[in-house]
This record gives sequence, C-alpha cells and structure tokens, in this order.
Amino acid sequence: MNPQLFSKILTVYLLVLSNSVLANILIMRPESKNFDEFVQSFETEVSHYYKAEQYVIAPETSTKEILQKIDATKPSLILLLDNVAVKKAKKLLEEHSKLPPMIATMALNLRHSLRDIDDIAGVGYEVSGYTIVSELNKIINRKLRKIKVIYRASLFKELVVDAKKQLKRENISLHSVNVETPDSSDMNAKIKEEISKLDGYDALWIMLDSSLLTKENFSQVWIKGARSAEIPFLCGVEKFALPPINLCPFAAYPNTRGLASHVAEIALSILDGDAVASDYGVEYLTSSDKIINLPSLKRFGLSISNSKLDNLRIYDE
Amino acid sequence: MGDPLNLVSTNFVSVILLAILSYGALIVPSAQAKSIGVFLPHVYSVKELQSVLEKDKTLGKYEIQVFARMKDLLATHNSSAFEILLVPGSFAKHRPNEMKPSHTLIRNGKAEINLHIVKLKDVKISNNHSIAAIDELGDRRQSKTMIKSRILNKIRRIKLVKKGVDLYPMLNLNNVTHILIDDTDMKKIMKESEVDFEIVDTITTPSPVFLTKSGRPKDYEELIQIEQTTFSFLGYDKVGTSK
Repeated sequence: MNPQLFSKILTVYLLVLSNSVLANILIMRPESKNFDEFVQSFETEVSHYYKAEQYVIAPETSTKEILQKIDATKPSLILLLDNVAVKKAKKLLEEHSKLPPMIATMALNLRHSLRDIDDIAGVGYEVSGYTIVSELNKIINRKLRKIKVIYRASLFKELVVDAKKQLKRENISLHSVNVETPDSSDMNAKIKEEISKLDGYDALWIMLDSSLLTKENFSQVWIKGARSAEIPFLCGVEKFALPPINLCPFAAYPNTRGLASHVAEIALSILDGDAVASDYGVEYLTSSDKIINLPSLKRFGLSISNSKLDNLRIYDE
Repeated sequence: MGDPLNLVSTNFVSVILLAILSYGALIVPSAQAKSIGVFLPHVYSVKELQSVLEKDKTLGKYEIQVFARMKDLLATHNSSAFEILLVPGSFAKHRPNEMKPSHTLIRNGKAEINLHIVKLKDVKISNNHSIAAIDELGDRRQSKTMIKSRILNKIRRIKLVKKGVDLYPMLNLNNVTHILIDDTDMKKIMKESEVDFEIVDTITTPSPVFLTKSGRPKDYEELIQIEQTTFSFLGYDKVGTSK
C-alpha cells in the first residue's frame, strides 16, 4: 500500500477512535442557552480529568430514549440540569436500580424534589435566605436583625426551616408566614395583607416561587407593596433590583462559574472514588453575585459601609 | 489613483521600520513594571487584598494581580509568567522549575501558621464527617492529598473550595461539618459573626512565600523592605528571607 495512503487511513482511524471514547460524565440538559455558560465552566473544571458529553433532552424525551443514550455512552456519572432532567431521572430511578450516580443543579427547589432520594446529589439553585441577609449585612451600615418571609409550606418548608436555623446562629430572627391557599385569588389577598404588615421588621425576604410571584399579582401586589413599604425587600433575582422593576434594593443570585466549580468538586470526588452521591444530599450554593440599587437602598436610610466584596455591583443611576 | 511603485516603496520602508522596531523591543529592556501574581489562602476578597497591597511603597512599584483562585493564578502564570509569585507556603514544593522561594511571611517570629479544624458548636455530627479546605495548589488531587496528610486522615471526605471567603458559609449552610481555616481568619470571623464555633484541632503549616525567578536574587532584595503594616491585617508581623 502507498505509505501516504496508509498514513491517511491511520489518521482517520485514530480520529474516529478518539471521538468514540466513552464519556465519563453525561450532561442531561434542555436546549436553552441559559445552561451554556454553566456547561462551559463545568467542562473547563473537569476536562483535565474526565470527558463530558452533552445530551439535550426535551419534556417529550422518553425514558426509553434516555436509557438508550446511557447504554450507548456508559457514563460513570450523570449531571442533571433543570427540573425537566430531574423529573426524568426520578422516573428512571423508580424503574431501574442500576444507574450511574447523579448530581442535579440549576433546578428550583431541589431540597423538596429530592428529599427522599439518596442516589442524586444536588446543589440548589436558590440563594438561601441566610446568604441573602448575611451578604447584605456585610455591605450596609447597620445589621438587619428581624426578617419576614412569605411562603408556601407544602413546597418550601425545608428552605424556610433551614434559613431560620442558619440565621438564628447569627442572632437574626426569621418570621415566616404560610400564605398557601387552594385558590390563587385568596392567596393574592393573603400576600397583599402580609406585605402591608411589616411593622417591626428590618426586611422582607422574597422567595423564588412562581406561584407567589405571578404575572397577575407582580405589579399590583409586589411592586405596589414594595413602593409603599418602609423596609427593603430582598431578592434572589438580579433584574428585580434594577429599573424598571426596582422591587428590591438588594439581590443575591447564583454566580454561574462558582456554581459550576461547586458541582464539579462533587462530581470529581464521586468519580475519584472519594465519595458517593448519598454523602451529599442537596447542598446550598455558596457563590453568589450581588447587586445593590443605591437610590433604592438610600430610601430606607441605609448606606454602603463596605463595597470591597467580590462579585458586588453597585447600581447608581 | 496613486503611483503603484510609490505604494510598494512606502510599504517596503514600513516593513523595514517595523522590523527594526521589533528587534529593538527584543533587545531593549522593557520599561514596564515587574509583575507579581498573588494568591493568599485567606478569607479576604480580591478587592480588599489588591487595595492593601497597592498601598505598600515597595509592592506599589510592581504590577500586582490578586487572584481569587490558585488555579487561575497558575493559568495566567503559564501563559505570561510573573516575575514574583506570592502563594501559600505549601506550594513551594510544587513550584515551577524557574521559580525559587526568596522571602516568606513571618507570624509570631516563625515562618509558619496555625490552621484550625473548626465545627459549629450547636451541630451534632453523626458519622458523615466532611471538611472544607482551600485548594492551595491549584490542582485538586495534589491539594486533597496534602490536606489528607495535614489532618492525618481523621476526616474522610474533603471538599475543596477555591476561595477562602467560601469556607465559613460552607459551614453555616451545613454543606460540610468542619472547615480548615487559618488562625487569623478564624479570629476575624469570630469577631464579625455571632455564631458559636468549636476548635476541634490545630495543625501547623508553612506560611506564604514569595517565589522569585531563580538565579537573580539581587533583583528581589527589596522585598524585605515591605512595610510591616502591609500584611498585619492577615496576622503577619513582617517579611523575612527564606532559608
């Protein structure tokens, strides 16, 4: 055989071989671009040690299709992004016992959805009430001591109970009010009532719950409430702290790179054999970005005493 | 329309000039300040460290770049080498070949620091012990091995954090049962926080070092003149020379 032709065939063969190496980590994710930055950061963290492959799923993707993918790639670990992937994984676990360890993130309320499941470790996507309040206390000129939160007990009890414990250690009290009702108009009335009863509190922590913050009540209940309130509202979403919304003078929200590093640390520990998924449960994210809306903050007689925190942005119109 | 010959000759002159300038840049010493890359295993933010270091008269002459993660410092150093690195003492053994320890931070007269294993007083730990510690070497496997030997394998599960500021939140959010933290950092947290902590154990480790380019010790003698106050907020008395 012509040596040049042989060399070309060998190169193509080696290329095909290298591309067919099985993935160590299968990343199950929806199509949305919201996951791209996280996936890129995660792959950077793990690529030195393991190979990751992305698998885009949709709500219609069947369990059978997922199993076929797992069978074809034989991952040592599956990373689940978004509630859709978590839901699919839970269904898989019900039907099949021999599955690789899994880690879930970028999904809301994981503490609740994974409360009885040991085989999926997780890192929650909500910034905890403790983190929101304690980070703000590091920045402003006086310490917030008495916080109120409005929540739905059937889904968010775990997060509220934990936040109470964590804040109590810092001598900060969290008063929680369950506003859950079967009827949404009743719930809106309850939320409105609770937002008007803020005397004696230093701040209101707003939980990320799509049933509490709805299209219908956002402007009339929340924005209106925030404008007439004499204490600041604290959020976990950046845009809530910015114009035109201006709901909260302070927001702490997930730092994507930090979250990817956190999840990668768990993944690598499991793959290295240093830990198993059940060691972790659902952890809280620790790395957050922060934004202060200075004009809004000043309205409550608060000022910034420390601006040298990493990942802090100060908005001043 | 211009004369094509004229254009060619203008381009030719430009190329010659460019070549002369490029050659000049190679042989003439750069007027740029020397650069120093910093990663310190403490609980201060990059912004805080950067502003303190820049105020020092000696360090102020350098281009200082403080990193939140050791891994990022090493990546930057590999692509565009710093003249000096100020890094955890543990990294001296893993340093790049061309760098050598020249100076060290001194605390209580010694080139070593105390690290505490700390837990929350009110939390009862059953058997799933875990400890968060800083990734001082920028390489998770090496860092884990080092930490395991530091804590004598007393805690099975080690969780590496890239930034010192993440240590205490990890503990209070119950992501880990213990943290491994520097003595001065712990005092700072205890001052600012109202949480009851319990120090379970204390171990000693080398204090941070200045790594400088090998073979040119005289170039870095001025580091000894770093003001005593510069590193006092991190609990160091002064800068000393490495043995």
